[in-house]
Amino acid sequence: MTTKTLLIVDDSTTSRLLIKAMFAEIQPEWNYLQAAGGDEALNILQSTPVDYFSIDYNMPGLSGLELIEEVRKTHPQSPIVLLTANIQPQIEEKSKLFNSLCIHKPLTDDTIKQAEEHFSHE
Amino acid sequence: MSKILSAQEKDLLIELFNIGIGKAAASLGIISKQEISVSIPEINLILFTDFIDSLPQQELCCVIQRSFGSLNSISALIFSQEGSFEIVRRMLGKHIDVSSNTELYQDAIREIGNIMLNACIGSIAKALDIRIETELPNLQTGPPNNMLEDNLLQKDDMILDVIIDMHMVESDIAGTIVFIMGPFSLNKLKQGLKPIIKRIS
Repeated sequence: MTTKTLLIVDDSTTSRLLIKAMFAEIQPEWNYLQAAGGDEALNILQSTPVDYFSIDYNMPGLSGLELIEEVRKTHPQSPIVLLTANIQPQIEEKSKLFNSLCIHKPLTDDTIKQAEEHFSHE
Repeated sequence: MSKILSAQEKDLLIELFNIGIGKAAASLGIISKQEISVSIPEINLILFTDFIDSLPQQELCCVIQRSFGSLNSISALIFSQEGSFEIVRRMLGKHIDVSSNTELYQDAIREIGNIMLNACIGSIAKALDIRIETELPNLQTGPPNNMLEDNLLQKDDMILDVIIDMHMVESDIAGTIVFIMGPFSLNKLKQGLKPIIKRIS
């Protein structure tokens, strides 16, 4: 079994560190990459294989949904989780259109597990 | 106030903000891993300068987020600086030590504000069936007079403020969430209340 790689995209350094730490507790074998925004994430994708995506919604530059739209052009089937503090239903509906799972911040052990299951059932 | 909002509108607004703060407090409870008690929202029509004067005269940490779309407002999450450090420490727990990293502390408290203010604004948008967009939050620290100074309002602007006090039971830390709206946004908000009032009348 090849080692899986999760790309964490969030403009908040704290969030990225926290997301990585929480996933690493249940998936210590995965590789974790980080990007502070959409452009950096797309640059990483040009040179590095990525299996799973954790993408924040509210970021400067490309929003999470705009980034997912771009990612889907090269990774149509890859499991993606959209993390958002915005609980308005429109965000969740748009997330579904791109076949990504919408999870609300703040993250808990349960929601991290939910994301991990979404990734593992690719 | 009675000329601006009817008793029914005020009652409904308080209920809406109650729902919103409930979501925000639930988020803070998850972040800080403890029970959060919240006050009944207090709605005031006051001068912006009086609002600034009403804030605690101490070093504060304030996360400010502007909203636009169906409702233009400024929302702010305010803690004492000491209290904000404790919340960040509880949020990150064993994962990350921010005691010697100011940049990471600021990033963390901005993210906490983002989560709480969005939870509150989002639930109000859901209740009113409107769409509210939020900008990225920014952080200001210092005494009250230094705060909110770069924002949309002038000192002599009349504003509607909604103030909700929170208390973290275990840590004994108090915080406040404030929503500020100018007259134009207040009118839009009143329009949003109409369908609900019609339903219950």
